[in-house]
Amino acid sequence: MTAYIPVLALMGVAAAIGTIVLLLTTFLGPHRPNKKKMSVYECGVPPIGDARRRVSVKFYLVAILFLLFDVEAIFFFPWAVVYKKYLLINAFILFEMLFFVAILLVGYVYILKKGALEWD
Amino acid sequence: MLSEFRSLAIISPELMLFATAILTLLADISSRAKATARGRDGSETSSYETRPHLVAAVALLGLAAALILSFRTFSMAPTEVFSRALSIDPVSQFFKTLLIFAGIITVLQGSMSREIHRTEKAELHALLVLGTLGMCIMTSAVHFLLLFLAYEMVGITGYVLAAFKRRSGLSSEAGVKLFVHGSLTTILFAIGIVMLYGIGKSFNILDIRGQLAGAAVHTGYLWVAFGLIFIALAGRLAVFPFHFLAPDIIEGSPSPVSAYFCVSSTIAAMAFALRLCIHIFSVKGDLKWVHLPGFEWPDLITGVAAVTMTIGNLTALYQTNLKRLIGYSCIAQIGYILMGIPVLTHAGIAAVLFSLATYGIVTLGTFFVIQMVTDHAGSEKITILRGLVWRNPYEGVALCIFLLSLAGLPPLVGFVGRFYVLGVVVREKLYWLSIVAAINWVLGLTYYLSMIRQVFASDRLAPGERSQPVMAANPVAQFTLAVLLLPTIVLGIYWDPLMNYITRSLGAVVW
Repeated sequence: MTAYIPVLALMGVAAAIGTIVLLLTTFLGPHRPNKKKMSVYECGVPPIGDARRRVSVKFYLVAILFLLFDVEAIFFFPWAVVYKKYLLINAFILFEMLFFVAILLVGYVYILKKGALEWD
Repeated sequence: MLSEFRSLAIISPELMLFATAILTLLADISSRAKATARGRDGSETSSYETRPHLVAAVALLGLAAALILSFRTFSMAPTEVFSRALSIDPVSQFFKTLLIFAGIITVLQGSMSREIHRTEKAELHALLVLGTLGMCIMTSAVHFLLLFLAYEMVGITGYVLAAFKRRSGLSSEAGVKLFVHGSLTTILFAIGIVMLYGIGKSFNILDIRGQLAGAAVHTGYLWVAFGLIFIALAGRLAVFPFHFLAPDIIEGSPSPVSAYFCVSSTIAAMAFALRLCIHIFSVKGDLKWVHLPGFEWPDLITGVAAVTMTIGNLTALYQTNLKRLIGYSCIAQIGYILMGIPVLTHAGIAAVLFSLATYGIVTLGTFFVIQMVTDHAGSEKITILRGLVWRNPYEGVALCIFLLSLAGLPPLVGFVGRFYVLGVVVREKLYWLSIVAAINWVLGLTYYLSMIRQVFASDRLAPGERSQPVMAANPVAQFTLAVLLLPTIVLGIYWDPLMNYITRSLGAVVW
């Protein structure tokens, strides 16, 4: 149980910082509201209107490619955790990852050559 | 180190398939020449020149190498590699050879298809090869984690392949339907696996089997686990409650992909269904397997088989779209093949393997001719077959032979497979099922013969049309047709070698 005390402390500190910052800005910050400022924040997109606007397909392409290469990184974490332990047994684990990275590289070269990363 | 590399040598067909997919994509981008195309709005886009011939050659050579490698592991003693995750046995290698062969034919079809633009061929080939790779792993995986990954690999490549004709509404519809259905069944499959894990305390099929045979497990629990995994498979197999999807997908997808779904997907799913039914939910007896005491799953499969073939045949009767018609006939064929599983004898499983192999070859042939005709006619109506045998005699006769084999007429291979399956059903005294199958045999004849009548019909053709070929002779296509015709006819007369091989493989596996 004692192992969880640092976690609890971290949660406490996080909650305290959040509360303090909010209170400070409320009491100390200047208040000059206008209509634009008070509107709902929606990541830079107008919050009211038809949600089915046409968006260029290029955005989706970039998003999907980003997602692919980003998700691959997840595979590196468990690998890195056990890497040292298994390297002592044999080098197969190293070759496995090199192989995996080589495949990723092929994918990268493919999208590069296909022009998927060119905006125009 | 050594053991891993030894294991790698044993799965060389799979590695070869993987290398093929990568090399196909690399061949596609190997050209340095830029090609500029002018868009409809006048804007110029430049991309690298594609090399469809090089791409097809790489894919086909790779698949051929994989086929040879799988032949080499054909008669190996059953082994389990990679911490007992993959079981390499004669039966799994048999399935693999079939799948890779189907891969070769579908890739060849893809390279000839007019539905697919030349810049997109490489991706089609690579996806077909990757899907085949996933299926190959599915046939020999005995660890549920690996099996799940392979199932997903087949699924995800399938979604893309079904929607490959981007500009066709039907193709997009097929892709979306497959995606929605696939993601749902994947969840059910995962829950089914977890339930089996709850019983067997292991993801390994061999361990689960030991646990199931030893402990008395509540029957309701087994039904839920079996049902969930069966639902996941039923979509792929296109059997009764989940067959609605299959014709839509087969109609919407480009023809090579339709053939891939009809043949490869079904073979892989059947391989896994066998593993599920025999390997997990049955206990080994002498000369026969016995289902787990109190858990009467064979009754369910028997019912499903009977309903599947009846519905498939009845619905096929009033189809006017050629691909859709073949889709329903595939459902009916799967129904026939499925009859061999619940009898749980060696002869029954041998009949399933035999008729599955022959079903694959014959259906590939049918789709091959149909693709050639639909590509040239630009339509998929059944009437485009009209007078084919007079206008393109070779292709017309080939199509007739394939259709007669699907209908189960002697002396073609379809008859032999069906005779074996019906034989084991009768021997197990499932008379009602054999009567249903016999009625379906006749029902099937109706629409297969009506297709053949179209092929021979010349009365509606204009006078000059009869001697005018629909399509130019293509030597590669004719050679491929000959390769597919050969087993259809030869195995129909002399089927002993294949049947003996299957019986021997079944005897060798530890199942």
